[in-house]
Amino acid sequence: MTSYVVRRLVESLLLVLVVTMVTFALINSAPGGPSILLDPNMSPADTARLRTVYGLDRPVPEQYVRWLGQLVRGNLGFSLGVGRPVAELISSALPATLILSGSALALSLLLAIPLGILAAVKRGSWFDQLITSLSFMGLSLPVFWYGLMLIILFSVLLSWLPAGGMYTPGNEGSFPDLMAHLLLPTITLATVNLAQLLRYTRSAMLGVLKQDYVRTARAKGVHERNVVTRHAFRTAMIPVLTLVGILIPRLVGGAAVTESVFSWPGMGRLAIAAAFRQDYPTIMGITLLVSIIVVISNLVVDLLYARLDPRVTYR
Amino acid sequence: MRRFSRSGTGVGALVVLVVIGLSSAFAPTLAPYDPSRIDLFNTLAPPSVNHWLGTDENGRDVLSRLMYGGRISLAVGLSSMFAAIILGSVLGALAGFFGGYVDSIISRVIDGMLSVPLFFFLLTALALFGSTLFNLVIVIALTNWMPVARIVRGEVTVNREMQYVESATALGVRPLGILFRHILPQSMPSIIVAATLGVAYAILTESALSYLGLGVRPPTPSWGNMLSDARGYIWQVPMLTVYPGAVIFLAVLAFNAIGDALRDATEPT
Repeated sequence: MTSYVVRRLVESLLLVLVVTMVTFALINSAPGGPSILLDPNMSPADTARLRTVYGLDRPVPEQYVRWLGQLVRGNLGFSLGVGRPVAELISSALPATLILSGSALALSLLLAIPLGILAAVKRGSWFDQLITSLSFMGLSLPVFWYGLMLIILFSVLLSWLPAGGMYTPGNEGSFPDLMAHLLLPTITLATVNLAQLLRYTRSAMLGVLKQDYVRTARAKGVHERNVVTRHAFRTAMIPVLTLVGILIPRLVGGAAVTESVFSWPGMGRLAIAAAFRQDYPTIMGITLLVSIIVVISNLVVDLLYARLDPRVTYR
Repeated sequence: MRRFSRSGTGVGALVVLVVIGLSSAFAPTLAPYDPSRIDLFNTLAPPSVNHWLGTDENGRDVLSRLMYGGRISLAVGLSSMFAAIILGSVLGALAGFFGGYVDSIISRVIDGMLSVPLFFFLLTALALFGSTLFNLVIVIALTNWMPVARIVRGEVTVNREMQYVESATALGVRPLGILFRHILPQSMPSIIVAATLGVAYAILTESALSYLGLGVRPPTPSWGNMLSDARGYIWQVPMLTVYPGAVIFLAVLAFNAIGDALRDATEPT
C-alpha cells in the first residue's frame, strides 16, 4: 500500500513536470515571444536589456530550470502586464474557483447518484426514459450558452438572481449574497457533469443488479430496498468513482468557461486574461497549480477504490 | 444500415443535420442577405417579414449570419475530427499491433493527456499562436484523438491474433501492410461511431473558444462568436443570445444521437 502510494506520487510529480515543460516549450516556441517585448515604442537596446533582465536571452531549457529553481523557493515570478506576484494573483482567485467547482461537483453527485439508481431500478419506466433522455440532452449542451439561458430566465426576465460577479459591490463577505451569486454558475457547471454521472450511475447499477450475488441476496429474502442500498450500491459506485476522476479535469475546464460567462473572479478568468496578454509567468503558475490539483484528486480517487472494492489490491 | 434506419431518434437526428448542413453549405444562394452587410438604421430589429430572426447590433441579418456561421463551425468541427481520427487511428493501431514499448509509451501519453485539463492548453496555444482557422483545427484535433486511439488500440490488440493475419504473414505481406490494409479496416465501424461523437466535441469546443474570443475571429461569423457579440445585448434583446446557442445545441445533439444510433446498430446484441 505504502509503496503503491509512493509510486503514484512519483508518477504524478512526473506528469506535473511534463505538463509544465510542454507549456513552457509552447510559450517559448510562439512567434513574438513574451508580450512585454512586443511594445513597438521600445528601442532595440531597451528590448535587449529587458531580455537580459528576464533571462530571455538564455537557452529555453536553462530558462525552464531557472523557473523550477525559483519554484522550489516558492517564487512563481511576477505577472507581466499586472505587475503583481503571480502567487498573489493565484491565491486571490483560487478560493472562488474552489467554491464554484466544489459546489458544482457536490450538487451533481447528490442528484446523480439517487436519480441514476432510481432510473436503473425502475428500468423502462417513464421516469427512466425521462432521466435517460434528459441526460443525453445534457451531454450536448454548450455550457456557456446554458449559462446565458439561465441568466436570461432568472436575471433578465424574472430578476430573481444576479447575472454575474461574486458579491454585490459593498456587500463583500456576506454569505447570503455569495449564495445568490453562486447559484446560477453552480447549476450551469453541475448540469453537464450531472448528465454524465447519471448515465454512468444508471448503467453501472443495471450491470450490478444482473449479478449473481444480487440474485443470491434476493433469494435469501433480503428486502429489495436493502438489496439495492446495501448490496448493489457499493459495487455500482466503483465505475462512478472512475468517472469522477475523469470529470475533474473537465470540471476545471468547464469552470473556466462558466467563470467567464458569470464574471466569476476565479482561476479560469485569470487564465483567459493571462492568455490574452501573453503573460507567461501567470500562465505557467496556473498550469502548474491546476495540474497539481487534478493529479492529486485523481490519486485520491484511486485510493478510494480500495475502500470501496475489496477485490482491488495495490502492488 | 437497416438497423440504423429503425432507430427513430437516429433518423430524426440525421434529418436535423441534413437541414443544418444544407442551409450552411448553400448559404451563398439560400441566405436572404450578405452576412456582413451593415445597416445602422435597422439595428437590433425584432423578427419581421424581411428579417425572419431580426437583426444584430450592426443591423446584420441574424438568419443569414447563422447560415454562414454554420459553414465555419461545421467545417472546423469536421476537419478537426478528421485530423483527430487519423492521428488517433494511427497511434492506436501502432500501440495495439506492436505492444511492448510502443504500446506503453502511447498508452502513457493517452492516460496523461486524459488526466490534465486540456482546456488551458487550448487557451494558451491559441492566444500565443493566433486563432487562425488552421490553428483552431489543429489544437482541437490534438485534444480529441485519445478516445479514438483507445478504441482502435483495443480492437487491434484482439484482431492481430486472428488467423487471417497469420496467413497474410505467410504470404509475405509486411507487418505495416497487414496492420493498415487488413487489421485497421476491421475497426472502421467503431472509428465511425467515435468520429460522430468527436464532431460533437469539436463543435462544442470551437463554439466555447469563439465565445471566449479565442476562436473564429469577427467579422467572420461563427456560432460561438455570434453568442459572444450577443452577450452584450442580453438585457435588451435576449433572443439574439438564444438563436446561435440553440443551433449549436441542435447540431451537437444530432451528432451525438447519430453516434449513439450507429453504435447500437453496429454492436452485435
